[in-house]
Amino acid sequence: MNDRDERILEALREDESRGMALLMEAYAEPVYWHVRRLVVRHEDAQDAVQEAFIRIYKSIGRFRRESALSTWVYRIATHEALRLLEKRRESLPLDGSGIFEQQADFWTDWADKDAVRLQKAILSLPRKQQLAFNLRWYDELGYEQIARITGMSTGSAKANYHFAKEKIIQYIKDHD
Amino acid sequence: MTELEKIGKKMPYTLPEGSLEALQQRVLATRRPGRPVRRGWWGWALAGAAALALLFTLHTTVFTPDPYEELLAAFDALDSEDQAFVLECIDFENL
Repeated sequence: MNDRDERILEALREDESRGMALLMEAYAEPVYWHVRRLVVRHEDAQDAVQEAFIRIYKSIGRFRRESALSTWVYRIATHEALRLLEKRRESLPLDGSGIFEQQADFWTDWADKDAVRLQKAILSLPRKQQLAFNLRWYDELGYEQIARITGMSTGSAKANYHFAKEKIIQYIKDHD
Repeated sequence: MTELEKIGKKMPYTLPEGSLEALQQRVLATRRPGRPVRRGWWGWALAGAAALALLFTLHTTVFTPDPYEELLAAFDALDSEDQAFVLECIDFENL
């Protein structure tokens, strides 16, 4: 547990509202981007993140330090994002990269073609590979932490990341 | 250097200004269950009325063959905060 998380947990013990505010200051933004990369649409990301933090707020007393605070927060947020995608499953295109075009909203910057291509490449991957890649590439988390967040083994997290990276490189080449 | 490395962490997404702050406020506005509630005057009035209703029920049911059934039903009909309030208010030993 790092110093920042210790301070958050201490604040939560002393004054739940202040502790929760600190927790959100630390994690709302990275968690929002993590969820946004999965669901694409800003409003969906906002809903899933809000739901995740409300769950965290309601169950913070049950946090048992069996994992890092960040792992716990990311795990709940990931679960909410996947739950939202599951609800949308029937309306989403089967081709993953098509999700980007279908879900892109006013808060999507189409001008950056490389960045669009990368997101399409990521969204074309199976879900486990998306998660492993995003958490490693963008959030720079270790494989063990990725494994704890996603429920994979550490070896599987590593393998999924490397498969994902290779596929993304190939996708970018093919769609140049 | 691969194309991927050149793109790096860039994303084609933007975040509406102030949305994370608004999100934080909405989350903090939700209250954890089980935490004490600050009651306004109307809250105390409602809880008081609930307590009186329960006391009345208690008195009218105490001589019936099965006093606990109606009493528990009345108590169950209260929400958890009012139940806690009633339990604090009633002097059970002197009933």
